[in-house]
Amino acid sequence: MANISINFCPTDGYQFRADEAKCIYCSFDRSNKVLVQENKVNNKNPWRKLLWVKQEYPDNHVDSSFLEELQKNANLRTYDYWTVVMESGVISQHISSIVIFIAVFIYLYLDMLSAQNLIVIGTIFTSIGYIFWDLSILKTDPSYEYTRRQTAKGAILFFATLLGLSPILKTLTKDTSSDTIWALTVILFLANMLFHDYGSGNRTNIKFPGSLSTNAAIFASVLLASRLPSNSHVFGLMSFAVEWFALFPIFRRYTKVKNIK
Amino acid sequence: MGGVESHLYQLSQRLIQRGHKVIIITHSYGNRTGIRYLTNGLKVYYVPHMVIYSEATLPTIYGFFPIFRNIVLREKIDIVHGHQAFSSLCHEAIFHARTMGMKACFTDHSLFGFADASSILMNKMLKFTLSDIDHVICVSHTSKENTVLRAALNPRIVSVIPNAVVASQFKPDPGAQDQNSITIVVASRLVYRKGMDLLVAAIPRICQIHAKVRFIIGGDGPKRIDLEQMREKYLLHDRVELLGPVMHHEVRNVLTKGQIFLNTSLTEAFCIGMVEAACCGLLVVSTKVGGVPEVLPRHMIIFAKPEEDDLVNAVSKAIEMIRLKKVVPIKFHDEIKEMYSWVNVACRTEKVYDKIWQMKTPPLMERLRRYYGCGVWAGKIFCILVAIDYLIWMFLEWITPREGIEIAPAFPYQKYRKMCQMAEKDEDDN
Repeated sequence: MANISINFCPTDGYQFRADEAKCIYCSFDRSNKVLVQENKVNNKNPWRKLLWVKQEYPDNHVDSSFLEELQKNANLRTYDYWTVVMESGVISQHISSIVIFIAVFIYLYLDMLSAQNLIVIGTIFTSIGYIFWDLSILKTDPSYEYTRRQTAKGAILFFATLLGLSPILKTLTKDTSSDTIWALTVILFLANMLFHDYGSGNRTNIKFPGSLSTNAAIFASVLLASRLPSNSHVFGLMSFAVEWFALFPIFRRYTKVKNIK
Repeated sequence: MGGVESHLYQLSQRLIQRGHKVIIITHSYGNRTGIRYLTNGLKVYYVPHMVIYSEATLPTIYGFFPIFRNIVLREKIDIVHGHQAFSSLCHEAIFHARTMGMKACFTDHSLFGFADASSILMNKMLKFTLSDIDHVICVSHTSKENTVLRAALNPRIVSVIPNAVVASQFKPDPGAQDQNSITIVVASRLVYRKGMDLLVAAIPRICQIHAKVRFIIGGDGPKRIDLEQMREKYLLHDRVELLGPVMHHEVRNVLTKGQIFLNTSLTEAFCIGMVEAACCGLLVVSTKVGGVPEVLPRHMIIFAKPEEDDLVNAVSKAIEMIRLKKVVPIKFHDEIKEMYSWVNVACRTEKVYDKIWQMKTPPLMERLRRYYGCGVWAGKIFCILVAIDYLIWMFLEWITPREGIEIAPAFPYQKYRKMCQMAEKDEDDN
């Protein structure tokens, strides 16, 4: 071993005994060609990344191994374009639904859509949605059957109350200027959008309940409805609002879960 | 007193002994305000500054300039040496010193990440300070790599000078150990960064495997509650001792009670605690993070990955080594004494000072150019800051001229030493 001039292991600084060929910690081969060569050229021991040994290099020495162990973007996740589109779909869906609602209101307000049509279309689609929902749940959970009557009872009671309340809602904000209503509506819809339950799946650390978002949207609808001219208009918009902001998101979430499965 | 404070004190003392004049500027700590003298006439200025949270001060950028200029002129300072990247006082001092055309250097004591919001802000601030600096000192090679990346520095102006220990304060004491059991000592602040969650998970498992193992945990911090809960839950009151805050001069007495020192840090630039423990003759078990692998030779330390299973394995290995009596404390002590000494640190720091003393001070234009390169937006903001600082300096020069500032008399160190020696002799004679 006389021709070898490496006395220390370069990785952990272990001092070789005269008869050892390998480092006992990292099994570094003492007769490493490259290092022996380098040693002969510089006539110096190789620099080692250790603090406890005194080395014949200045303190600001920059070795060729500088930043060798650097890991770049170790925790980086790259996203595929279409998965991002799919994942963010829920949000664009919700924004679209708000815009659609506002469009419906504008049509009602400008008398381009009659209240009767809206009520009829709303009822038809709600019934279709309910039947679809009913059938698909029945497949997975047969005990569901018994609640059907209660649902129907609840729905009739709710819409009857809404019909009764329509005249009150109509004149609710008569003394308030329209500008105020528009501004408030925008704020409330923004709140609805921000706090909407986009279906994160885990319910453990949700700060705001989903009801906050629904309440904001219904409140906004009440404000908008109070701008409309007749009772049937108010009832139409309010029933549409309930279908659109309370029932439709549940349906959307349900289909999404079904799809993923 | 942690690594940084003892570093400041020890380095200053050695530099004074080598014939330099050293003053320390820091912010006031409660009642501790004004100017105080420490051993050998080390002068400490406690500058009034608003402390917001755990001894950190609010960055004021310019508020500190007048008093800083006054102190520096009074004391005839040539080189400003800032410590610790988290200290806003340090950043401001270096910034103003450069404006006043003085030499500046900076010591970084900690590692820092790149990803989260606070580290991005911190790194920007560091980049601001370090884009116009003469030299940077890091405490380990890993820390150097980290700093070079964070502040986009030329690695040639970064030196690595480790911390050191006063070996005479950390002598092994075989009598203090409990001979019937193996004691594992943990001494650090009980915070997340020091890996306390790992410790909380590992202790019950180690206690379960090894019947004759005890733990002594010194230090205080938010994670102390977790440790206490762990002790309650696994009924380990007789085996896990929580000491609470330990004064710096008592650390040695805590360390010598044990045979193994456990360090579970998640990030560490240079763990001075490990060196102190090894100096007391303890076998060290540590997570292999940051600069830790560079600090101690392989026969003094057992590495573990920063995870529960590997840590338990490493501790078991260490316990086995202690049982077989493979560790000779006094040998450890003698070896450490050779490796880390403050005299050596002071020598190397002096070399850095010599080097920057010969460097030319860049003109304002060059400084602006350097700051401008810091980033698209940041560069411009930094330039504004520098320009305003320069104007404030000019204003201060006009309103309180240099000539009007009284020069403080230097502490007569040589005379002081002579008198000390005479006093000692008198005592001996009597």
